[in-house]
Amino acid sequence: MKKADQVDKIETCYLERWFSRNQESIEDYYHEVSKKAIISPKFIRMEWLEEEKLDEVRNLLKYQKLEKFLKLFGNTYLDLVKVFLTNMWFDDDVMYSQVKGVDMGINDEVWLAVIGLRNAGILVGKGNTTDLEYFTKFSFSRHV
Amino acid sequence: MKGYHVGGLSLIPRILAFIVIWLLTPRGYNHVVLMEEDLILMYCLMSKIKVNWINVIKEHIAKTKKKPEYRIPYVVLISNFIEYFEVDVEGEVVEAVKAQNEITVATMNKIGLKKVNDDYWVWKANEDRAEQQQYQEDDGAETSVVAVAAMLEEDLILHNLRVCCNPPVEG
Repeated sequence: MKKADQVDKIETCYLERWFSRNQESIEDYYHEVSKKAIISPKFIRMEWLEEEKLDEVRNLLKYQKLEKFLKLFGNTYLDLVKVFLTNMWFDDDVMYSQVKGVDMGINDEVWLAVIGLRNAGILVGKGNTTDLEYFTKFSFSRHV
Repeated sequence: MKGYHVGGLSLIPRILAFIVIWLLTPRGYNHVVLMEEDLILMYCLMSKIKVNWINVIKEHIAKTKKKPEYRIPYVVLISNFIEYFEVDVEGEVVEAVKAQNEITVATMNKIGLKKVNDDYWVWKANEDRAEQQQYQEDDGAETSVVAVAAMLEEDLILHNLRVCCNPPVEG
């Protein structure tokens, strides 16, 4: 067996395990997600902001209950993250995926357990500022 | 797309902009230009308007998947989900988040902020400007209205959340 064939065989073996032999997902992964670069994750500790006398920043972040999310670190499984993204879909506000045959439904309970955030607060985004009565790009960049 | 350059921000908004761009909705491009979505999140942070961050994260990740040129954000968060659901990770490529990815003094220096007298933070640019003005004054140059305004701004910078009016730049 040629070396290239061996590599191909190992790769196929991995892909089948990651995607539980779902050929459609394997194709998506192969042609799209596998080619994507990853953004190097950063984290920040609230204690550090306190040490640096940046209490104002710390208080604003704490008000939003973002402490746990912002200091999140640990292991990263770079291939499995791509598997997650390939299989990711949304239904009725819940994010779903499947990795190595394990079904994952990221519901309110999971969000709360992993990053301590509740599914509450106003919905904002580009083109969605209906709940922000006083916000306009121009006035904010001038006066805030 | 129109955007605003982060160079026009004062201290607190500058740090918040950094957190929005690198941590809350990370992207792989244009880290110095504020898009509409960044401004919205900064506005909410600064005005203490409770945001549904779960929705922000979900929308951001969905956008990343849709557009081929976008890089993958939230790798630690997704890895945490993988661990939460007890997916078998044996034999998989694993990397620990590096210590240099923590936001520290070095990061602040990189984005143009500087600690003065080991006590408070200022914009490096502002300090240079202050030094320059000092030099001009020593040199007998008349202090202009603009220079006075700049010095007043320097005093206010730690407490004032005002974003200096900055002409929009093409993003």
